[in-house]
Amino acid sequence: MIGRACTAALMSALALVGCYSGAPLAEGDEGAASTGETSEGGEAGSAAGSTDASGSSSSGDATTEATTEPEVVDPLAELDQFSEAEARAYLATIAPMVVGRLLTEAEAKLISYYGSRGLAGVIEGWIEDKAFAETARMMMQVKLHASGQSDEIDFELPGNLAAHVAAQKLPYARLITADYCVDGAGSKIPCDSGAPYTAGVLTTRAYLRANASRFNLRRARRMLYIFNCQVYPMSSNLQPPLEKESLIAMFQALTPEDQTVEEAKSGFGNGFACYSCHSQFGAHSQLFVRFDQDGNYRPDATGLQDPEDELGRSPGGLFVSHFVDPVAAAQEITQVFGVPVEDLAVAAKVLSEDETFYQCGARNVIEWTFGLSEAEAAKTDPLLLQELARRARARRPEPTFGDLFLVTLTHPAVIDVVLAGQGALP
Amino acid sequence: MTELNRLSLLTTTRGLGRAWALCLTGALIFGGCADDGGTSDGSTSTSTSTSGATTSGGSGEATSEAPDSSTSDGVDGDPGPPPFDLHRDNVRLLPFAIRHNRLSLLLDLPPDDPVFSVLLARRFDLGDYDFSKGINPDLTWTTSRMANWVAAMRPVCGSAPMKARYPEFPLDLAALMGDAYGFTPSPADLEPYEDLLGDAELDEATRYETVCLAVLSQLEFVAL
Repeated sequence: MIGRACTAALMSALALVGCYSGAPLAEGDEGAASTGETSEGGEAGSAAGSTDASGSSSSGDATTEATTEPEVVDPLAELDQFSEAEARAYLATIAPMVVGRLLTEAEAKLISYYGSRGLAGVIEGWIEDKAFAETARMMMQVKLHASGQSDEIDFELPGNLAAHVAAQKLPYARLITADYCVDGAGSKIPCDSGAPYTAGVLTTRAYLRANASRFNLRRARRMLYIFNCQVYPMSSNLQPPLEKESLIAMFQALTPEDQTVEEAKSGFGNGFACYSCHSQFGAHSQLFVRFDQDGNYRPDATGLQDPEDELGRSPGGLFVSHFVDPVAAAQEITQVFGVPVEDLAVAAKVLSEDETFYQCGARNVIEWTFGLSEAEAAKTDPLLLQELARRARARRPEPTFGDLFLVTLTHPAVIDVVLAGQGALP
Repeated sequence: MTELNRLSLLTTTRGLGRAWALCLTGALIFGGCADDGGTSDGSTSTSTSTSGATTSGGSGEATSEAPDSSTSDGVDGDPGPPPFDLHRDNVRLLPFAIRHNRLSLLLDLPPDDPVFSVLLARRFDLGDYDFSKGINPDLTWTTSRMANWVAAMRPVCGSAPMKARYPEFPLDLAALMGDAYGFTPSPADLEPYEDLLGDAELDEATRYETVCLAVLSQLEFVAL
């Protein structure tokens, strides 16, 4: 069973060792170039780079507050602190969640040959493995709560896109910026919501249906949580609040006395301080005002309350806008992280260019690889995430799924956590 | 010696906690486990930290809580608190698809081979998900899930490919454990099986199945 196949794998893996030096990849060494993708990634990369250097946009947590230049490190040399046995034990622990199998004999030999530095080569090899795309699929299926088929909706579309992005080594950001969807055979297809624009998984009916809720709160909340790891209320530096007067009455309240809407007087939702969260919620939920509860795009949406239905529901299976002005309520125009946007596709680009995006991507890798719950993963040291994002973007302006896995799973602090749980090794 | 007692001998195996071994016994003999406080059937919780998992030594290696460094004061030489916690106080199963894949690789069979028919038929009882049907993943290792896993492993252990690769125990026990877990078992790993393998009361078929089920139900095979 081993023999020739393993020899080939070993040779392949050996060839990969040393690729991960921490240095930026050569220009053009991006999946997009080799797969016929357009060069749009370069534009986004430039924009992303501008926020990375300054750290000017704040996420509201400690991840954005560094002001000093990070120390340049050699990721391979960092691995020297681990023994061969530790490297093997670590890889054996994470292999099932990254490639769905055990460490192969060839990979174990790589560690014997190169010592703990071989660890990076093994993980680089995993990223080339077909199984890695399936890992990306599962990871995003679980995060997005989207899988399977119904009579009307293909809930596999988000997972298909994730697998495609990982397999083709496209930027991780394509999850929400791709202008296409992907079918079960891996071919590009239009997404299914009928919207005149596309924002990757966000404009699939699977995401929209799975996260449909009154006022579009869940769609907004999950988008910000999954891709930027933000919860409401977030820093007003990151997401400037909407003007109080622009919101419908119930969301203007800061105290019980402020509340003038009967249905909200009992502490609707999470309490009385509606404005503190909804001044930000409103900006993001507006992006979904034209998507009905089944995820279909409805250009005739009004965003206004249906007087015959429960709070937060608009006629025709749509949901109510936060905006009080009927003209504004019907539009998709809003602002995200302080940037004016005209629709969900533009908003997704803004989200993907914020420094929180790759920090969150690294957190998602930790959450998946170690089987953590979202609440557990949320406790990850923000300084580690900041460093992982920096390393990923040092590899290329728009890191791939593989970049995020590589920089995360080769970081000594991450390895230390796993080894600490294993006790003494030979 | 009863089958229950024979299986109980395996309780000291690495990663095979006492509660789990007893439950395995129950599953084998009675077709189900007495609930030891595990998450009830039909739970759709995505949480993996509920109390249902076996905790009395069942987590094996890589499952203990973070060491004392978590309380370090960060003085020179001390690494400070870990940047995240693995939360290994409770067992977490590998996602169903990964467990299925490991079996498929172990026997070098396609994932849709009939050997896996019971496994696939019980996939949602074993923690798999289908969000289109409102079924969330559940990676807790509950008593009912253990019983379902054992039931799903019976056709695997009884299959021709299994017997072709690992014709007899104890001769092929180390090979099975090595291929299943990814490391060569130590004498200490094999020791818990000795009494079982030497029990003259067991017929060969029962002995084979019992050993195989035990190996494939250990946390080294099914859990993170």
